[in-house]
Amino acid sequence: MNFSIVHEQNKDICIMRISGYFSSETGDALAQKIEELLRKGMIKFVFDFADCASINSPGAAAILDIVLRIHDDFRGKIIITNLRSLMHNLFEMVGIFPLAGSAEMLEAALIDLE
Amino acid sequence: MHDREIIENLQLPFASFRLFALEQAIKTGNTRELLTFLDQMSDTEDSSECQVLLPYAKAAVQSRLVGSVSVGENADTSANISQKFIGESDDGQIAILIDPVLANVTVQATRAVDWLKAAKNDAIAALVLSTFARVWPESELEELKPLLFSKSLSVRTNALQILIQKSPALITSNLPELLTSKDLRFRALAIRGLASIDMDEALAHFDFLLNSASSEKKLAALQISIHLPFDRVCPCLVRFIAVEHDVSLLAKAGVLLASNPDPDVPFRLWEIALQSSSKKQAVVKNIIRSVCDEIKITRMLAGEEGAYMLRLQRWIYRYSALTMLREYIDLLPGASDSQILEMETRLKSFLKNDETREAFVEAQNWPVSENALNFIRKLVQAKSEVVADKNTAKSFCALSLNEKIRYVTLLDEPDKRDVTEVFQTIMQNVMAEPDLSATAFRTALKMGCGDFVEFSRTALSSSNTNLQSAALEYMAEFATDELLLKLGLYLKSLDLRVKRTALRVLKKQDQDQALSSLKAMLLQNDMQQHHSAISCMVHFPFSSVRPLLLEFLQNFPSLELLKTGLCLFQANPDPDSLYPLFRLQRQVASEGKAIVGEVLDFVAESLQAENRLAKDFSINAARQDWQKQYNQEQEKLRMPAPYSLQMTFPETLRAFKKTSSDFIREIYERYKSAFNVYFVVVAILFVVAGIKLYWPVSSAAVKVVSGAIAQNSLKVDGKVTMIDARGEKIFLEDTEGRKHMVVASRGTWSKSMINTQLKLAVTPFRINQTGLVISQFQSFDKR
Repeated sequence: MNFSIVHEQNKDICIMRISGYFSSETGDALAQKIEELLRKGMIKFVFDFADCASINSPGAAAILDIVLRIHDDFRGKIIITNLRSLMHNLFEMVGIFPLAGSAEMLEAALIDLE
Repeated sequence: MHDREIIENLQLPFASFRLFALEQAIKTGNTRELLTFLDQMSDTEDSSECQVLLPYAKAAVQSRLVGSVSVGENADTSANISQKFIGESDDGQIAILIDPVLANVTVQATRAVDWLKAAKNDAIAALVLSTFARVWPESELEELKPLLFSKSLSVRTNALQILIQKSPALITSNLPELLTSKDLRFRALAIRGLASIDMDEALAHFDFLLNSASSEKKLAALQISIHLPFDRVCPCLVRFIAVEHDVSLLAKAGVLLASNPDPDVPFRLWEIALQSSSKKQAVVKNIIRSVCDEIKITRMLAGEEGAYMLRLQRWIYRYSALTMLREYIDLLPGASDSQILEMETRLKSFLKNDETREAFVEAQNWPVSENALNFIRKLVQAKSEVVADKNTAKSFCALSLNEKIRYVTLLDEPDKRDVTEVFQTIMQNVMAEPDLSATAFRTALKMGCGDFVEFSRTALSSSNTNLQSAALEYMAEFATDELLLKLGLYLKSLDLRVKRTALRVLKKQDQDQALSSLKAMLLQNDMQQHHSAISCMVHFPFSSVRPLLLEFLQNFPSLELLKTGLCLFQANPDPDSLYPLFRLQRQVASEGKAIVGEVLDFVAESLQAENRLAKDFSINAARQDWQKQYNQEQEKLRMPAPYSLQMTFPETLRAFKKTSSDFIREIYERYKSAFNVYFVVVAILFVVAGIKLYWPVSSAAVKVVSGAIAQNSLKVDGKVTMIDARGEKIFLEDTEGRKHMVVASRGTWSKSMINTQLKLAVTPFRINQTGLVISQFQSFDKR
């Protein structure tokens, strides 16, 4: 399934716009981009799932790993936004949400991180 | 972790979760609400480890509230921080660990072991481990192994977390102990670690955890499922949905199924929905809807989604109608004309759908009695019953009994005043025309009208089994708790219809208990009971009874029962039945092999016709893959790994276990009213016979047949070949070359016993498929 990850910078906040189907493959690609940004000293992230069609279990496992990497190893902050209710429930169940914050819209996520 | 979640975790019953939450409070806690909670917790916390961490957590949160958390200006470089940490007091070490200056722990990773060694106490050691968890140097992993046996739970858990992530192979020898840990977080981590060493066994442990009795364990299993391959997790989740009743856990399993949409799942879930209570049915139908929505959203069928939905809808019509037809055919023998009229009327209302009519036409080829075939033929020739004539309500009392039954069967608008009056008229004289009252209860139930509980109580005492059954089903929906208290009475009924209805009611409320009742019926040495149990299985989601049925068929290879049981596989074609049927074909006696093979081919063809198998599926290629899978399974059974489910939880093998005390209890319950002098005399005779029965016999005299064992005592004389890590299980080979596993309390067996000759008195309870005799230890003499 197709996917794309677009990185935008808003001051010191990295916005990762994810579209398509989020599987382990997407997770690997996102992890690689995040790793590069962490090395550059970036520790504030917004994951925008507005154009993401679906997230499967391996995808959720990959996001959990990425969130743990940012939160635990770099004491960074992550806000996840524009999730459909199914994805929100999945993230809540597997423990992503206590580690990352959530916001309905991108604007709210940016305010949270400022 | 937000403070709200920290507080939630602090209230969990498992100490490891509370320790984890306390660590999070130390690292990030910053609200007054959390501080207040921590203050209250000091008075109630019973874990000494949590008590150690509590003051640190309170101090850290308090500091953040007044804005003073920092190790100070001197702690600027990484080298300084490390040196400072090593020389600091416990409070100073905590302050460094939670300071934002330590933002990038990767820089400090090479000195992680130094930090660990310098930690002033276990609480700080645990914090060091969690701080460096993801960056712990590969070369220092061995340092962590001894920590798996630390007296501190949080140190053990955090060390395990690192080893699981970095090098699970290092903990292979510790897995049996970790997998059986009483602490849930520890156990869940161990399953994740096992997944990278032996996926089959990890899945077996996952499934076992998912089917445990506690909600926390089930939730932990659902959470770790994302780390396991979903195609293997999916059948476990479907089975879980079939037996689970907790609505919130069902919804969580549904989230996983919808997030990983599989086009075959809605078919399997529909069967479960049909067999569930109305509350559970609503949840399962929601899950089906979510899975279908995701199939459409992801366009996973490459534009064929519309055709798929149509096919699913048609299948649902067909399946629902055929399920009802099958149930009614079972009720035909002994049914009165009024009952048959009601059945015909209900089935005819399905005929307006072409799919259903076609299914009924095909049902004329079912291998059923001539009486049943006539019933189906008559149905096929009939016109569709549409709706009840609205004007009839006014003249209801003037109708004949058959006209009344036909009218009430077709009612479907509960709010109409006329309809309410008709129900009232019938219920006022509930015992007068029992078949009509039975029809009224069933129709009221269908319409969700719960106003007649008082009348159903009266109807329960009717001698008419049709009315009694209808009242049971009605009360199960509208007076559940009250009915459950007296359900045992109806489960023991000699009337098959009442017994079946009671079992169905029990299944809807407590599937585990209902399955135990089925198991009990299969355990009795009575072929009639075996047939009844198998016929009762039609009231269960097939995925939930399939394991029990398979084990029964493999252990009791009577040809007649085998055929009866296999009918259920034919009636419920399911991709998850294919490999189990292949395995069964290899396990049954020779005369049954061809029959199982035919059923396997039939199920595969049915699934292909319904497009429920991959387009390139080939039964011959599949057989080759299954043979490989079967060989691997047999190899594992012969040489089970110490961390395997059968070694760590041998009780999972006891599907048909029945102890003598269960048997005595059952006999007492059945005959307690006749517990008199006569019984005592007979009992004395039993005691005399028992002296012989209970006398220990030599293992050499035991005939090896897989399944449950009725033997009460056995002497095993053999050489010790292996002992498990916890000293709980010992493996011996007796003088006849027979293999034994003897289970005792933890620490009974020591490694020094390996290769010694032992003589044991044991209570055998099972022989597994490889001939391994599994027993409970009684006493022993070491030679």
